[in-house]
Amino acid sequence: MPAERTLLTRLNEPDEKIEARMISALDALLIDPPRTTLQAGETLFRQDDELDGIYILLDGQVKLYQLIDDQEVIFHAQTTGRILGLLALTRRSRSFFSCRAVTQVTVLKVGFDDLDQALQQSESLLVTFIMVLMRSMARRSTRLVELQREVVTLNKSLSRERDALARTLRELQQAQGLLVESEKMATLGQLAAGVAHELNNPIAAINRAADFIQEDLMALVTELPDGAVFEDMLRRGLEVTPRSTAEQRAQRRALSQALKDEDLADILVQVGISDAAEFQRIAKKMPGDPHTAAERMQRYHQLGGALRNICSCSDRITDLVKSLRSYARADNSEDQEADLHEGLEDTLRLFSNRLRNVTVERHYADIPTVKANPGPLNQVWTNLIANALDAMKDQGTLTIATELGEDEVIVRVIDSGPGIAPEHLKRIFDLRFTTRQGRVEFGLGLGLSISQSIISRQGGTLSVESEPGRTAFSVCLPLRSGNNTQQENRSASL
Amino acid sequence: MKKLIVLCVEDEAEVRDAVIRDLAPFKSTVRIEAAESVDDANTVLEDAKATDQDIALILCDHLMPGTHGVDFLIKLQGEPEYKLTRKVLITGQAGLEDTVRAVNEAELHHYIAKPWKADTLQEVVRTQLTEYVLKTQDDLTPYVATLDGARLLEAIASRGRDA
Repeated sequence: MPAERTLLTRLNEPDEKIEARMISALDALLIDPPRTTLQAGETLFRQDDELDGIYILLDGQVKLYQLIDDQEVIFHAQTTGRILGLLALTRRSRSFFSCRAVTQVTVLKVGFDDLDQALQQSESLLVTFIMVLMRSMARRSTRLVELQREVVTLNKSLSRERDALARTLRELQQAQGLLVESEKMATLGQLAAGVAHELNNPIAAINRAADFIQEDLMALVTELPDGAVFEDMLRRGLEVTPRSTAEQRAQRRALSQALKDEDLADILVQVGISDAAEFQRIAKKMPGDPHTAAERMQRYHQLGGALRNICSCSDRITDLVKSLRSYARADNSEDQEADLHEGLEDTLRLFSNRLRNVTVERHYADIPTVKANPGPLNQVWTNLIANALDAMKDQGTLTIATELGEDEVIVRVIDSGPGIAPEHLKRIFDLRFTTRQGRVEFGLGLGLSISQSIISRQGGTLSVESEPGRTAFSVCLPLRSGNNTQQENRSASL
Repeated sequence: MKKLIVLCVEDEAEVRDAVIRDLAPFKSTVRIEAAESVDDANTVLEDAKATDQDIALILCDHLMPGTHGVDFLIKLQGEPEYKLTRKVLITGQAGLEDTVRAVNEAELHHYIAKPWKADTLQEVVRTQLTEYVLKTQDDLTPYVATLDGARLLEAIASRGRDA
C-alpha cells in the first residue's frame, strides 16, 4: 500500500492510537530505547541548547518557554504534543524553546541518527511519525493564532487602561489646578480684604480732614477784608461742574479778546467768571489792583477745587474699597444667599481701568438671590469678563445680562469681539488651553476650566456660543426653593 | 515773546487739575494747555499751528477713552513738526509692552509714574523744556529764570564765543 494513501486514510484516527503505534514501533525498531524520568520543575533542555535528538513525551506534562527580558514567557503547555525538540528537529539545530517538567514526566529519547534509521526501515513508522508531527504542528500553529488573539485583546485592554490613566491624570491635574487656584484666590482674598480694611481708616481720616479744612476756612474768612469773595469763590470751587477742556479754551479765547489780557482771562475762566463786568463787580470788593484781585480769587477758587477733588477722589476710593471687600469674601467658603448683580457690579468696578473704551450694557432682570458661595462666583465673573475684554482688546461693547428661567437664573457675559474660531470652540474648556501665547495674565489657560468646575459644583452649567462680533458665555445656576425675589431693580447703570 | 506751549493730556479732571497746578512755576515762560482726550489734544495742536505757536512739551496719560497716549505720541513722532517736541508719559497703567513701544517708536523722553511728586514733575519738565529751548531757540535769556539757568547760561556763553 503506498504511504500517501495510508497517511490519508488514517487521518481521523484518534491521537492516542497513532501515538501509541508510533511509540511501540520505535520501541520495536530501536530495541527499547532508554526512558528518563524528570521531577516537576526539572529542565529537560534549554533554549539554544544543541540537541542531538528528539524527546517523546510518554507521560506527564511539560511547558515550552522562552526568556524574554529575563521573564519566562510560556508558549506551549497544553499544546506541546508528544514530540519535544520538534523545531530543533526541523531545523537540525539548536532548540527554539526551553523545556521544563510541570508534573513528573517520563520521556523517551531518540537520537537523530537512530530516528533516521528507524524511519528508513519502517514505512508504517514513517507514516505514523509524519502524522504525529503534522498534528503537533497543527496544534502548535493553532496555539500561535490563539497567542496572537491574546496579544490583540491584551493590547486593547492596555490601551483602555492607558486612556483611563490619562483621564485620571487629566482629572488630577485639573483638581490640582483648582486647588492651587483656589488657594491662591483665598490668599489673595485675605490680602485684599486686609488691605481694603486698612484703607478705610486713612480714607475716613482724609474725608473728615477735608470737611475740617472747609469748616475752619469758613470760620476764618469772616475776618478777611474780602471774606465774602473768598466764600463765594470757595463755594464755586467746591461746586464747580466740570467743563470740557475745549469749552474752557473757547471761553479763555473770548475773554482774552475782550480784556486784551491773556493771563487775566486764563484766571477768570478757571474761577468760572465769563464776563468782564462780573469780574469788575467782584474785584471792587477786594484790595489791590485787578491783577492781585484775580490772583486772590484764583487761590480761593483753587482751595475749593482742591477740597472737591479730595472728596470726589476719596469717594471713589471708598467705592473701590467696598467692591474689593465684597469681592474678596472668597475665603468665606459657606453658601449664602448670593446677590448675583452685586457680585457682577463689584467685579465690573474692579475692572474699571479696562472699561474706559468699553460700553457696558446691563440687562438685569428681576432675579432672586441664589444659594451659592459668592467668592468663587466672583472668580467666574472675573474670568468671563477678563476673557471678554481680552477678546475685544478692551474696546467695544460688553453686555451683562441676567434672566430668570423656570427653575434657574442665567447670567450672560457677551462681548463684541471677533468671536472664537470653531476649531477652538470645542477646546476652550480644556485645562491649560490658551490662545494667549506665553502671556501670563489671569492664568495659564485655567480660567475657563476652573469656571466650569466652580459652576458645576454649584449644580449649574457654563456654555458658550460664538460668531464674529458676538461671543456669549452663559452661566445657568439652579434655583432652590424658598428664595426671595430681589426687590431692587438694578437695570440702571452705575 | 511768543510763548511755547506745554500740552497736558489727561482724561481725569482731578488729575489734570493737579498736573496743571504743579506746572504753575513755568507759567511765566510757557503757556499751559490742557486736553481731556487725544481728540481734544489734536484740536490744541491745530489751534497752535494756526497761531504759529510751538509745542515744546507734551505730558501725556496713557489709558484714556479713545486713542491711548502711547499711540498718540507715536503718531506725532511721524510728523516732522513735532519731531523736536519733548514727550513725557505720566501714567500709572502703561504696561511694559506699551512703554517699550513708546520708547522705541515715539522716542519717549521720560516716564513719570503716578502718583508723582511735584518736585519730580517740575524737575522733569524743567530738564525737558531746557533741552527743547537749547535745540530750538536763538535767544535763551528769557528762559534762564524758570528753566535750568546754569545750562542755559553756559550755552549762551559758548554761543557768544562761537559767534
